[in-house]
Amino acid sequence: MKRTEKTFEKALILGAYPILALSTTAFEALSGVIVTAGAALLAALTWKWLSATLPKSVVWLSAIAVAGSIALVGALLLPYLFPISDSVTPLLAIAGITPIVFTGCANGIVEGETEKSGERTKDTDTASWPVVLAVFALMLFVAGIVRESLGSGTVFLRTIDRAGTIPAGIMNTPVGAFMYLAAAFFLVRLTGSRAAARSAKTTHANAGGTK
Amino acid sequence: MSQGVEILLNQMLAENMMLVSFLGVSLLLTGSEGPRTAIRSGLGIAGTVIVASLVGSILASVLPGGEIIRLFAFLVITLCAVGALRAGGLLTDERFGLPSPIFALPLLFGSQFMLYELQLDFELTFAAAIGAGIGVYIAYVLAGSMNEQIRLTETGSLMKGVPALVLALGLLAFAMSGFQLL
Repeated sequence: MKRTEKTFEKALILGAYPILALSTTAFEALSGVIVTAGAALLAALTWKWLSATLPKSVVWLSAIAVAGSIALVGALLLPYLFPISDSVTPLLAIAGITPIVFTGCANGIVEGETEKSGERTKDTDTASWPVVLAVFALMLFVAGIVRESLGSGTVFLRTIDRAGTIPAGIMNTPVGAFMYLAAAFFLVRLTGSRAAARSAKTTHANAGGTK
Repeated sequence: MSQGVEILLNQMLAENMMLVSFLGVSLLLTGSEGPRTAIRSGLGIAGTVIVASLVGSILASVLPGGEIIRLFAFLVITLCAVGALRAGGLLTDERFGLPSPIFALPLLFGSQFMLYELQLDFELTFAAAIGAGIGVYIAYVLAGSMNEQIRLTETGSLMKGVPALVLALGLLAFAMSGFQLL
């Protein structure tokens, strides 16, 4: 599995909750992106400032408390900025303490490294945490647009369907959310395998030409 | 059917916290354990969810102040529940370089909020908490079993692992939503 593919899969797995719960409409997805990105950045900063002086467990609790607080504030403010229902407030608050928020914290991931038996070794499996966070934001935003357009026939509350088109209401339900996530995984892997096949073909052709 | 039983069944099936509200879905996707381990560790997780959601919803109903005070109380209880899970020897490993209790945070926080939102009296809150815990346990064990099945069966490489599990969880959510009629 290539690095890009692994980065996408990591973003989808760690950000599964916001992608599933906050993607019924594009505005919800946008709010989710703002809350999770804000919480992630501040959690990473907290980790960086405190990790030098305090024990790891205390730094963890601080990072969770900071991310949770930012998410709570965001969850209470965002319904005033975007046309989202009040029922989304708890979902936004929960999104602030999902695993994707803490990718910038643990085990020196802040610097794109992993800690193993006291030695710091470079983690080359996936991209650095800002890239993972950006990929997550993209996938969440796309999820919002795809689910809203298919499920309600609108994008950012503007009708896009032609008259008489019946929206696929299932996309507004939990089943639709899981279907989007499974499709995203499938497409990431399909793109990766096609790219690998193309590169193998090119290598084979070049080797044939050299002979 | 009494109201308590109805609420218990509703929390267990139609409003399952793992499958319908997506809380703890990261826990399901990253848990590589099979059904045997899931049966044991699922009990601990479900028990913690029951206690945390009960304490959280009761505390929130007696706390003075607005929504933000309640949400902070939920956050504090969530951190205590995480500590209890660690002390019980559960979720001690690391997943994607993160300590695994991080993956349980949305479930522990969200379950308190969902239960409080129901605005029930103590007996019914208790029934709802038990139902939520059983629902979490069912989803956790089923996901563990599906994980093992996916590993053992000849699934195509494009769907092997997490994508197949996500699709299976979607079908399970579909089945659970069928109990809405209760």
